[in-house]
Amino acid sequence: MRMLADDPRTKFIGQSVCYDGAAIYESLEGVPMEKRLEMPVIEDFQLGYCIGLALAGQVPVCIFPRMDFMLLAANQLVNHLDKLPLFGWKPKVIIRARVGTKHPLDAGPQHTQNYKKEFDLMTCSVQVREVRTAAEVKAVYREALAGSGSYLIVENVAC
Amino acid sequence: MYTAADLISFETEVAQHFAAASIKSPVHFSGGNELPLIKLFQEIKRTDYVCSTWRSHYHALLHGIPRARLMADILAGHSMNLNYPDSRFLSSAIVGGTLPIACGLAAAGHRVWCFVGDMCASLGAFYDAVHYASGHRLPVTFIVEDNGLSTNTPTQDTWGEVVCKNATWSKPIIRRYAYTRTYPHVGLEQRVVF
Repeated sequence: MRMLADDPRTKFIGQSVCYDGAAIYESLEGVPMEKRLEMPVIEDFQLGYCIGLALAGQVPVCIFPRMDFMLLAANQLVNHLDKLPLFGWKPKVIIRARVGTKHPLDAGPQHTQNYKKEFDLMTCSVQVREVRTAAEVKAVYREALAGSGSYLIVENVAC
Repeated sequence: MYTAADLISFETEVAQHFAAASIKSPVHFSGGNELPLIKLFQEIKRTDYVCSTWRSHYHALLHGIPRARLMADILAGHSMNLNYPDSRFLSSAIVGGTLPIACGLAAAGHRVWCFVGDMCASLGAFYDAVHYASGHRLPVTFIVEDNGLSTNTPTQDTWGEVVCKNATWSKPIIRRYAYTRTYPHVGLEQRVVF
């Protein structure tokens, strides 16, 4: 995340990004507070808001602590982030979605699902990637920052 | 600046093309709201962002999209998704879809005007956007174009009694005007054979 934070265009947006107590907060160690924006629990709005920032030239890193919650943002992902490039816009949003762990604690069926395949099938311009190791994480985020267009990066450390 | 007659003339020309089956896509015609829009767009600068809907012909003309270019795009079948990034004109065919996008653009420092219908203005997504934009004092104005209908359904009938303030909400960042549409929700009164 520090590598992303070094880019002046990025901003880290989501829940628990500014307030300690959740794993997402810990994962943002080294990211300056002025580059973070805490959101209400408002997934569809959060991604739409990030699209707006992106249309203005920023590169939001839109964070969902569980991929299950991303279903509530599917509208903005599929209907806008994915389709606006077809209408001439060039938004760049990096979506970071975590698959909930099942070990040592099983977070249950509403907090552990991986919808990578489904989102891949529903999108045509957004690049969907799944990462499982630290090395993959670094490489894919580097690719997402340097590449054109938007990325959905599924962090699956549970498998 | 366009007059009401200019706007009506444009849409009449589109209607003639549509009736002749030369537009191979749905068209949501504008009509009946010329005067409030002309007045409103006197405030909207060309450097501002306009977020519109599937019914966007008037908005696009009044925001400076050249008449000939707009007509060509409509004839090419793009009426529901007219977008002009260079002119800061965005539209979406998803109800309420542009609300958070407008907030993001405003948070990035742009002045934004976001058009929605009266059904959209009664939804949770509208509450979310107005709540957030008000709380963060974002430079966005939401314009509710109230024709009392959602496609062909009376908006209020679907909700029953008015028990929630959302539908009649009054906030400085909300503007509302009422009008009676002159065209159906989509297409024309007549059947067109393609």
